[in-house]
Amino acid sequence: MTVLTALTGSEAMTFEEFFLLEYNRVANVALRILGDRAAAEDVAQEAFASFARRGGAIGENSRGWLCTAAAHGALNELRTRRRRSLRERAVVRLSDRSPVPDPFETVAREEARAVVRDAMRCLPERSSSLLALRYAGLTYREIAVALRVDEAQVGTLLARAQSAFRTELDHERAR
Amino acid sequence: MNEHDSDEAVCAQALGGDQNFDAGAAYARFRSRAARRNRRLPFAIGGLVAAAAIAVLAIFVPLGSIAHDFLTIFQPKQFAAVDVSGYASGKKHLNVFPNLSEFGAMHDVLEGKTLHPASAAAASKVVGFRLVGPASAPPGMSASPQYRTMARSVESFTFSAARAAASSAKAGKSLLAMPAGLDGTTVTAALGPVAVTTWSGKERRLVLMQGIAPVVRSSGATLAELEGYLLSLPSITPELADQIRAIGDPSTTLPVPIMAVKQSSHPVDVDGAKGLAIGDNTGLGAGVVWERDGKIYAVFGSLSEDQVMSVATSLR
Repeated sequence: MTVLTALTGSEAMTFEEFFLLEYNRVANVALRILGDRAAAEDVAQEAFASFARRGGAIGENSRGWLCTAAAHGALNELRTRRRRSLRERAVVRLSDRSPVPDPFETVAREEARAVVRDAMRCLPERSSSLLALRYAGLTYREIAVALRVDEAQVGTLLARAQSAFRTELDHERAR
Repeated sequence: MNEHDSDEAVCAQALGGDQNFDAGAAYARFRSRAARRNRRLPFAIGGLVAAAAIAVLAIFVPLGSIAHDFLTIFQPKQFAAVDVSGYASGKKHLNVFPNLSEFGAMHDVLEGKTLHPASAAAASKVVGFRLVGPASAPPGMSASPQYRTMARSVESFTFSAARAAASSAKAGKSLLAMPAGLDGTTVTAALGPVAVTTWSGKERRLVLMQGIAPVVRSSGATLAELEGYLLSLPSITPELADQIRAIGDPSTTLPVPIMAVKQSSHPVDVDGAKGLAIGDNTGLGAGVVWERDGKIYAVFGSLSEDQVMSVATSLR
């Protein structure tokens, strides 16, 4: 079953099916902002719980709503965290380990994620959310609905966000 | 990556590409957390179960004064779920409630006044029957529930073929002509009194509703005539109409609207009474409704179905 069939009402989708279909996308939205799998999963769980508390009705805008909730949840999580030390960043999470873990690669990967995360954190919230939603695969229309902006504006806002992200990324890498 | 790369390319490299998460394990964790943690009442459940009687009556059986020559055409003793998911899908913006003013006139005969009694004894005095309740407060909830009562309300509705024809012409659409037997018929319904007891805990709530079963009477038309006409109205989807027509004994069966995309239902036995259990597919809430000795009872809240049934069967 696809989201399309569920959304057109031709075939009903259960909450479980919807969860299984969209979980990866929602968790990846949070991961792009947090750079931390375990924290991203916590945020995704909370996004689905909020969705369920709202009644859990699956509709045309449900995916956008969930991804936006994940983006906001991840940004809130970032705000509440203190900047972590280099040592803390390098903590190896079991779930990220390759079959033959290379500690140097792991540290490098964690560092790269931390840089991306810090760059995302420095952006205005709407820009971070926009980038997280766009690279999670949402369409311009879904982004427009989720962020409550005109669809015609999404391209311009995205270009600005990309430019700002690059500036912050360069800045973080130079630190 | 160098300075000549576009902003988009830089972003795609830093932010593109999904990692794989185990959605199945995540769903198991979600269900487990939902069952373990206290959650706020999902109002979809509470609203549907609690409002089912009122909502469905508003659709099919407008309320009114009780005259001696009126025949009882509806008094619920059992419940049947009807799926109204079609009304919430993205492509349909239909309202299950027909606009009654388009084919008749409604009158409030007796407006049910709402009160907030301080105790079960006070609430019992208001509604005129002894409130039942569980022996102790539901787990994790305050031992001091809140009470709300609604006095008996009566409304009436008189069908008018002339008004239906005028509405039809005004809207530029042709409705099924009102059957001759329906024109001028007055349908009345009495609802309540009803008492609602609410227990609250941290992000958790349990509601017990108990009230005199609604009674609907007609001055002329039969239930079959009423049903045939109302189910032909444009606001009722063919799918919903088929489900209601399929109900075995419409004069004693209250259709309970559920959203099958997010809720499931099945018949249950509550200490010998026929009931209907409704569960939220997310596992965050459940409810049960049943009839006994002319009263309708409903228990619903942010609990599992087992917990809700446990409360329902412990009421004394």
